[in-house]
Amino acid sequence: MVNVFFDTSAVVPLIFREPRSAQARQAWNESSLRIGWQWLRVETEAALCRRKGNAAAWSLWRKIETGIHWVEPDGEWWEHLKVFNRGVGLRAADAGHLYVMERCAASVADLVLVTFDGEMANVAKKRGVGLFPY
Amino acid sequence: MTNMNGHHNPVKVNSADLKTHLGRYLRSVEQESASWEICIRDRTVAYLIPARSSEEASANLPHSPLLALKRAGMKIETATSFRRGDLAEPVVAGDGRQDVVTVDEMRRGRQW
Repeated sequence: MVNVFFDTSAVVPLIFREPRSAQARQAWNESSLRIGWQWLRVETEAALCRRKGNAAAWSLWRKIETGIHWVEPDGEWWEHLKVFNRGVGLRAADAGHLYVMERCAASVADLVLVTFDGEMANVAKKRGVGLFPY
Repeated sequence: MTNMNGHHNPVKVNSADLKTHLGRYLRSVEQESASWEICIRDRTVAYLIPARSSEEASANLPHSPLLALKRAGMKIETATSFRRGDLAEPVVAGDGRQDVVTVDEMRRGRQW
């Protein structure tokens, strides 16, 4: 069992059948603590709208939503995020996921990132962030 | 019976006492939302916490990851379901395609 931090790219395949659905389910089933940044909820619902998710898809999302601890840094953290991304150069929201992950990993032992975004995974690896092993 | 500590910070109880008075301890958990730290020879081996608010209670346990996150300045909306293996299989999206990596498509559409 592992403590995991989900990126949106690893949650949407839990809802829609996609090439990475099996790996996403593996991460879900093998995790004892699941954390995600609040923005993930906005991105996931955007995916549900754009892929025309039916009632079953929305129901599945609601269930997933209750199984994740949703976090958001307190205070004026945008300034810190801007500085953080000057060093990593990710797309804005992706930088947000990685920044919040690193903040959480500083407090939660053995926290690993679950992402299927290659660019984010590469940056995370270079920064020494633990990745969920597939 | 109360743990004398605001019901959230668990108080130590040894396993022999727990065994003898299990009913009382369970009632204190159910009726007073008490939390207990169960020890064998002063070594903590488990926690007895309310089931209906287990996430809230666990956030108040020593060494809890959620407590650590709160201390590190994170606002947390705790999960309400932790069961594993009960997630239904993914469904086919409304467009009928199963070869699409949705988030890749979305992120490709916003390079910035």
